[in-house]
Amino acid sequence: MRAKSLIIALSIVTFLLTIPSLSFAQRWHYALLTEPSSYQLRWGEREPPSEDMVSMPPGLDTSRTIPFSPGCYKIGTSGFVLSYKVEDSILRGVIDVVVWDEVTGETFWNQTYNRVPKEGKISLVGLVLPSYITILRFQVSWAGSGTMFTRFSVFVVLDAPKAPMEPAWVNLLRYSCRWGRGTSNLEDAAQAITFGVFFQRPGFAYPSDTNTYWVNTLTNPPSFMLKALLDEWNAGRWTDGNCVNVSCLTMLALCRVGLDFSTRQLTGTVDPFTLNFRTNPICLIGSDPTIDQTYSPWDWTYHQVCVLSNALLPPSNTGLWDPKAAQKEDLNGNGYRNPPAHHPSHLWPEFDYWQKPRMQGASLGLVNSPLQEPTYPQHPNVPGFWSLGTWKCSVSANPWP
Amino acid sequence: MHMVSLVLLSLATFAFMSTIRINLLEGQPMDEEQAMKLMKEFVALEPNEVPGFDTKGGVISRTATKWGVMSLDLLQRLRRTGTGIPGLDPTDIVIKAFLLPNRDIAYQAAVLLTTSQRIYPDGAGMPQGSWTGLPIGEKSWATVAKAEKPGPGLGSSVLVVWDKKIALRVEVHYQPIDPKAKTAIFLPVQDEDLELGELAARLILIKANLVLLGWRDLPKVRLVANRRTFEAKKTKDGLILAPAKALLEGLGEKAERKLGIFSASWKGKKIILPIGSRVMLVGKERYPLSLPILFEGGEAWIDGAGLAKGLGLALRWEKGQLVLAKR
Repeated sequence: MRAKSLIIALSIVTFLLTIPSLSFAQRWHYALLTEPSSYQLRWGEREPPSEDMVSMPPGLDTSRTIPFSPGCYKIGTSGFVLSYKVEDSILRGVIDVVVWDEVTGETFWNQTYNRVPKEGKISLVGLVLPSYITILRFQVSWAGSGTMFTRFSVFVVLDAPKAPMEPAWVNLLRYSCRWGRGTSNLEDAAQAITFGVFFQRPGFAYPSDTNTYWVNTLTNPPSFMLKALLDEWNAGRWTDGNCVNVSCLTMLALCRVGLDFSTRQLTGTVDPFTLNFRTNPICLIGSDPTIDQTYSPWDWTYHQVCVLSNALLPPSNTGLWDPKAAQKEDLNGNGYRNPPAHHPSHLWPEFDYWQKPRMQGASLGLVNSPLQEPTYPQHPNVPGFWSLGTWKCSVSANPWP
Repeated sequence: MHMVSLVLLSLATFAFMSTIRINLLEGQPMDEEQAMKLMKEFVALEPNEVPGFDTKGGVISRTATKWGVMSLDLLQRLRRTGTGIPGLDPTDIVIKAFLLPNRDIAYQAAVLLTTSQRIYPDGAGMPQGSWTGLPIGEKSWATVAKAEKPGPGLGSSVLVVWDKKIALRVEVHYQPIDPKAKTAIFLPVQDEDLELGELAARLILIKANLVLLGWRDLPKVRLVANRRTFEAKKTKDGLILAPAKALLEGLGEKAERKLGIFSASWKGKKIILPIGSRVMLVGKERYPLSLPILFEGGEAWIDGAGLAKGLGLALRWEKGQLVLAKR
């Protein structure tokens, strides 16, 4: 009996001593999505861009300075190959790959590969990225003498990123893919991202002094201080943002998911004394559009919105996306209370958005008075890019102190 | 400015004057790295230099501007926390200062720093003025939302200043009273915070000017007033910088400083000397100055000729020394 107890005790001690020694020997070298190629990414954390690039391919590589890299692919991408290497005391183990939606938490795909060697390539047959914008989380587990796992993100976008977001910025992708999650075409994505910017909390709050805060106007083109802005949001702080700020950010978010958008400044016949036009009651960004008291008229000299790149000047029926303010009614006079965002099922053509019908005191669209003209007359006192049709800002990763 | 700072300022001034590269400051050629070092070490504000506000220091960078020239930029955030008042924690003062190669470009840059959704008759996006109503730099523009009670869009104010080769923008920011509310409601920016923000602008402006002038190396000159002797400074251009506070006190008046503003009385009139201003105010009269009123060592240094004119006196050389006396 005593000998039996001794054997059991020795076995337990041996077992306990063996586990940590095995565990310490076990580690990842790499677990990378080597095929197909990810879109190139930059972190968006510092300048110059060459010092800010995300190492590719996506996944874990412990030899990198920053071991984990996210990836970015077009919707519906397939043909993924996982290359991996682990250090372990045993020769073969089990690889388990789980992919879930980072926004909803739902498992998207799962596959186990038994008796695989410590180094090799696995074709992730059957893994086809969703047909909509989202963020996926990959978890690759190794079960050998013990178990260990690694995780990394993959952004699913509509198309290759467009200038000035090429390469795309990871820190903005985290926002734009959440705003546009679940959409699979231009119209749906552009509407969702426009709404996403408007309803972001903490996010932009329109300043009553109408000032521009996040665009460095001294450069050509003006440079959006994207990292500085996102750092504030990530720290839970609100930021001021007028139409220039808000439309530029929306444009960048749209370009980031593969949609080629620009911004455009609109004006018409301003009052000769005040140099302003008066808007209909609108609910500016940062306020709750479901409440009547948040709607009021504003006096502006110009207004900046998002349009498709190279969109024709009015009176064409080019669509318009205006994340800066919600309108109580749509262009048919129906209750709306959202920011205008052109969509086949809910039209916001630029010409009518501006004023419908085109007369003093018109209740639909942005402008109440004075009567606006369908063109963009030059204004002698307005500096900069006033006369351009559509334009894009550049982007800066310079930080705030 | 304490002694260590003065020694460092002296060394740095010597360093930049002895190097030859670019011509950003007052016609004095200087190495770009030296200029950036000066911006960071001497122009950027120190913790509590604006009372109650902490800072991690400034970030210096270069910008390739739309005019084809480089600007040296100072970005700095001053932050106040711990007031315990919702809507005031934190309060940020954000400074963006741009040093440009010439006056015209600096003016254009300043106008662009005013960009808003409105245009005023001078082409700027903000109305001319300052938060306190007192002059600063060659020209300034300011916005502040005046409101009786909290509301959306009230939590920020902007002051833009142009002075020679400097374009400067200072912002004061509050956070919403309830950051999780669906509508962001802000306290209106308080006058005291606007004064502190304007103090930041004045300090940045005069510190930049101290560097531009090579302050520590300026020769001293004797200045006599009311049979007392004072120490003035002489710039390379021959301008006399007189110690206004000491002079006024030597003339029997008492000068006081509140944040960025010196004030005194003179023959029944109130004298106001806002530091960083190119104007001195005597009663309702404004007297232009050739240089901004500087602030160094607790003293307001002012263009001597302008001061003499404002006081109704004359400043003239007599036997190798300056005399401030009746005309």
